[in-house]
Amino acid sequence: MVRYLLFRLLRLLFALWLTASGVFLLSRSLPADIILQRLSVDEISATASSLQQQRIAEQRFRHRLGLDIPLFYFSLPTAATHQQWQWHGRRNQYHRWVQQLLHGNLGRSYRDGQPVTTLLAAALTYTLPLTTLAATMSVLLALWLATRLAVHHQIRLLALRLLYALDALPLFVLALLLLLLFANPDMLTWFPAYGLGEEAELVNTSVLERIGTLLYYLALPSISLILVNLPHLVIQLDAALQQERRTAYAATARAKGAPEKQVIQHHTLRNALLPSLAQLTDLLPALVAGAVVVEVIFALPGVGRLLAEAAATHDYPVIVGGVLLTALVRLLAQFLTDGLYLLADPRIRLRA
Amino acid sequence: MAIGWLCLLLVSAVAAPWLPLPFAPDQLNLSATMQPPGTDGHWLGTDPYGRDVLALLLFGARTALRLSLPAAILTTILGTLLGATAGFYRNRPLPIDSLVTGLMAVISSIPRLILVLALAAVQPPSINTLLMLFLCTYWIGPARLVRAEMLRTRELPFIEAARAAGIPAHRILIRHALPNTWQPALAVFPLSVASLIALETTLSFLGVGLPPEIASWGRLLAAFSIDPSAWWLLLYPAAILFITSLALRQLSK
Repeated sequence: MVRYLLFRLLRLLFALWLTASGVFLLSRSLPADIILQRLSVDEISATASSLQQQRIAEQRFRHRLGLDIPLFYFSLPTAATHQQWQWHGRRNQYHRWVQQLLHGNLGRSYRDGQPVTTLLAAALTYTLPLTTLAATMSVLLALWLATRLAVHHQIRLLALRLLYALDALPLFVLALLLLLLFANPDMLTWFPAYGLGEEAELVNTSVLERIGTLLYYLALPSISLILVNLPHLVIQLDAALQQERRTAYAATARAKGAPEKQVIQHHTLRNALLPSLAQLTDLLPALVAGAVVVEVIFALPGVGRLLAEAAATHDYPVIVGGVLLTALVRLLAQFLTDGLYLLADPRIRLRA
Repeated sequence: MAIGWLCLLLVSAVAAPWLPLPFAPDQLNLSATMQPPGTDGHWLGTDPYGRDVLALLLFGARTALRLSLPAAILTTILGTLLGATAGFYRNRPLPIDSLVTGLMAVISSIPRLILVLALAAVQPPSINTLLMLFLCTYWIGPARLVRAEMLRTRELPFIEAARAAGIPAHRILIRHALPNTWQPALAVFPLSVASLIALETTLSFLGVGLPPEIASWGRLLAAFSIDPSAWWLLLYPAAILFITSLALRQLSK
């Protein structure tokens, strides 16, 4: 068991390193001029007047961002510059990046010069409540709904069909529809359309009131996240429950005179949960990805919005940081699922 | 009905440039921005730049299909080939299976939206770049299915018979094993088209991937999020997306 977990961890770490390196190298393989053009036109032209000075300023800017040294350990022979194979040694951008990364330094944002770790940490304080709320709510709702559907057969087909239709809507369309219906002066204004409320209003309030305001503002974003993830969870769990209720042990339980509800809760649910647990591995990363869309729509200053803005403005250090963070979430989800497997199935516990 | 809708969508997308539309999709009219449906010949209203929503919808369908259909076809072919090769040869003579499964693990270790978002941001935006990105990230779906099917098929007696008859391995793979394994990839083809359309519109909505001058349903919906009182910018593209997605799902059943 431990060996298996270690192998899984190593493979995930390898995947993490490969993706992060890929994104890093791709982002830097664009000609540096494009990066410079986008970022520093104002800065350079503001300080320099003549062409000579401008070139010096540009050089200095490149040096500050570390763009003046070779990208990788070697450079490939290219037809355009008639270069041969060239070995650059440790003085290259990739080596420096990895070195900094191992020290926990993700670099600075191109846009405002703040450290990426600070930006991500600040954004996480908004994203974490949203995703945790959505994750727990969707799991609990899925459990509740699936067990209800197993008891009440008459509504089962209708509910499954509804969930099936709900699944056909992309997340951003769903979120926009909610926005149109529930946060619109022309329709219903039950919920705020964007943001997290005024900081100034919250200064003199109690903790409970703060949580209340937070929930009020997070209501629509988390509802859209829940609604988008619910169909998968419920359909899978429902299929597993349907399969389990035909088994011999369920029949035995029913023969003993246990009501259907009890058979489900005490007997079949635990077994039906096992295949659904694998879905949890995908749920957390899916929520992080969903947070990108939802945070953009509802203007929440979280990680997703940071990532989307970084992608739109080509802020590469932030993008690489965001990718690393998501992969880390995936890693955590993996371990959480493995732990839950141990909890749910004593057979696995005994083998381990 | 599902097929009928998809045919209608396909025909109107292909024929969009020759349809007798009252307005072109790139025709700006800053004096008639955000018109509700039915005013001044704009049947479905106009967007914040005064472009006709009907024309944008038709040309958006064109973009969505131009991107998702080739991407789905290519990913199905690529995934089938890779999955079949990996499942058939396993790790002899070359460690193809380990390589392919490892690559699948790497690609699926990060949510697809975030991966595509990050990669789209580091490349210059164009339809072809986006097509390449979809190709790189979407082949794992069919590959996984076909590989599992191939692992089952390669143990069946008729493959053994072919081996005993002395047919070379690559010929067995192409002539005997592959025709019996590619059905699952075909079955999920409509689903992958639906998911590609959803991804394309999401990316356009976020303003990443496609150049802004290309009409897309995602851009129309982005215009709605600027002004939430313009319901026509949400309702029409959302309905089309919804019906298309449902029809594609129905088709794969």
